[in-house]
Amino acid sequence: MIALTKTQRIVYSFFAQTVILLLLFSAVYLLGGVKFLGADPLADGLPYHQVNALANVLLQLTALTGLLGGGVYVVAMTRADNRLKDETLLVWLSRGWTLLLLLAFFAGFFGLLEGRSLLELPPVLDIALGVLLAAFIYVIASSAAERSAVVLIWLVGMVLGVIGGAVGLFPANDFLMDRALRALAVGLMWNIGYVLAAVALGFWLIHRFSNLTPAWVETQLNAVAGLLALAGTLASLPPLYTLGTSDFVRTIGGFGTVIIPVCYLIYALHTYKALSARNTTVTLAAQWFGLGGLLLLIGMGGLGALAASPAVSQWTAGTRLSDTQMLLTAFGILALALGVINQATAELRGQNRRVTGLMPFWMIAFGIVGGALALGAAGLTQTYLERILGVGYLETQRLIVPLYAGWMLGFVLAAGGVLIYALGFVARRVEAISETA
Amino acid sequence: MRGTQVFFLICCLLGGAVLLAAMTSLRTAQTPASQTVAAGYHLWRSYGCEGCHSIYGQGGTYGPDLTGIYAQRGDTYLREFIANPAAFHPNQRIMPRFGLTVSATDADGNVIREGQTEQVVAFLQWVGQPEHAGNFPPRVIAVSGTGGMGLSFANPEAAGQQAALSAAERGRQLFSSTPAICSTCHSLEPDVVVVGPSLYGIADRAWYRVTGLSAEQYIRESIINPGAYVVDGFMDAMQKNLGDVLTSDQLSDLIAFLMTLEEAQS
Repeated sequence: MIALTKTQRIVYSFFAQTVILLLLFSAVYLLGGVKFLGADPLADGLPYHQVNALANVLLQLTALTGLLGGGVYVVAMTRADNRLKDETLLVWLSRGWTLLLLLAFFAGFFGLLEGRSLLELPPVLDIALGVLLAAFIYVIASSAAERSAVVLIWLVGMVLGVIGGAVGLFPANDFLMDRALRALAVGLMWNIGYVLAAVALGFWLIHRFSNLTPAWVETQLNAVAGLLALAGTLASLPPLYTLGTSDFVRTIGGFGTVIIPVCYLIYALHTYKALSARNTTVTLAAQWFGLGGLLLLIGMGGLGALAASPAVSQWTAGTRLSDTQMLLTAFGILALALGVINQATAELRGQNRRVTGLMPFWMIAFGIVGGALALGAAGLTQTYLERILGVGYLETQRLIVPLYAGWMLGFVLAAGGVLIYALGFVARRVEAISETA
Repeated sequence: MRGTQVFFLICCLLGGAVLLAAMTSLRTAQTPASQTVAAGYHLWRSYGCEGCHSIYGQGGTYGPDLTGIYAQRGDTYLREFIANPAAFHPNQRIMPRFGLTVSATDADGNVIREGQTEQVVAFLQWVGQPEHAGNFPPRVIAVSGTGGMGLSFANPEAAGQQAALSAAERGRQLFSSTPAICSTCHSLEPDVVVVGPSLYGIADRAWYRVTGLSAEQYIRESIINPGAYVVDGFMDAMQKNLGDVLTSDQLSDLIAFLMTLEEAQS
């Protein structure tokens, strides 16, 4: 039996919700992926666009729930009583969040999601999401006992995520402007905001698993976050290239081909330095931190940089290479969130112990990297056949089915890892009691 | 510490400035979208088309990019495809049938109620105009075709069996199977009208239907361009895209079969 404050119980519930959402996402994503393998018997009953919309919404909510849980935990740890200042408001907000998750899932289940890729939440739920996030940010920011770099950059990341959501809600009668707003919204959320929040949490993990000094962590986080914000900005420009932006934008964006990989390489070097100075902590925080760094390096630093080149982007826009970049970036963010869940859950349970075991880590790591390699190869082949040689879309898709099979095989492995992660999370739980106020 | 905080701030400001500059440099649409196009755009969003298709390289990847689809396929093909996607590209990914309405016209052919299908097609036409699409894509993204690569996807065994049949026999099979499925509308029994006229004895009639056209030419023209010679008493309702859907060999096989339909033999 362990005693938890209300804040800690809420953090714990956020972590549990993240694991459940990740499990749901994996199942829905698999269902969508299978449709790429051949004729789809569910084409009319459960069309791809509905499955894909639900998967995208679940992915976003998984990332946000994990980042929120981590943020609340980190800030609560800065306070002597391990609870946020306005705990009552936090309780109501967490209930609102759970309700939002349920509504979003059922909206997706009944085909009520919107038709803008990666911005599929219906406007009412999108507004509710923005309001809830803003309220969470207020509660967390007002509770922070110390303005550390981890807290500040996590806050900046989440605020950018909220701004991105708001930009996505802007009405646009002109389709070109609609495309631009979508690109800006998705870029602010996934390329900049969520990455910053996740990396801030990742650097908080360094305090736990490494012998590096807190001053080093704080200083380096500021520098790395600045570089990643810049890299994320440049990685958000490619979708605008096809919308008739000026040559100035293409030129600036083109610099991303060099700047983005350099920024992510510097982040990767920090990851390496932290991993090479590990202490005796046995939780899997270090492993997840390393995986997050690797996936972000490949997704943003590699494929993001490739797409930043206007000469490349005009051929690859809208191919499976874009999906590969998104998959790797999202799982880079999720890996960091899972690292926080591993570490914070162990602390909440009062144990220096692996919360979920090593097997799910390797399954997810190999599954995602292997699946992304196959999907990336499919994207490259698609670009060459369909865009350069002029082979028809349908013929190209039939030719790359074996690569899709590799992608699905990898993701089945990753989904198995997520399932074992969830089972481990539940199986190793410790009965908790709420601390009396 | 303070120095790196300032560095972070400068990076954020720089990033914000770049995004702002990018957004303000956007070219606005030179041709204002009509109400029909706006309605099509609304349908595009509400039916979740972007979940599968992309435009300007943004969106889903389950279906082809549709930036230049109007220029490739044209109005008639797109309307028929939207009405019944399953009839096209059999045994491959199938677009769901969304049941969009079509325009209603009066006796003089004037549109009295605009259909959703026409709105979506107008939207696709708008996005593909060069002033909106810019230089994307740099090369046409074809929906189907081998791009001159000579790729073959046919089952060799089945292909061998097909080749062993006579052209008329292949045409007979084609008559009642995809992609044409002529038997849906045309009977081979005398005086039996399904939708279009019965094709019983067509080989005996085709040669004198249009002066100057042989029987084969008349049948070929009637398949590719059905509105050209509508049989008295029937409406111009035949599928207009058979010229795109059928390969030239399939068309020849179908004609060979129809040329066997003499009155005694039919």
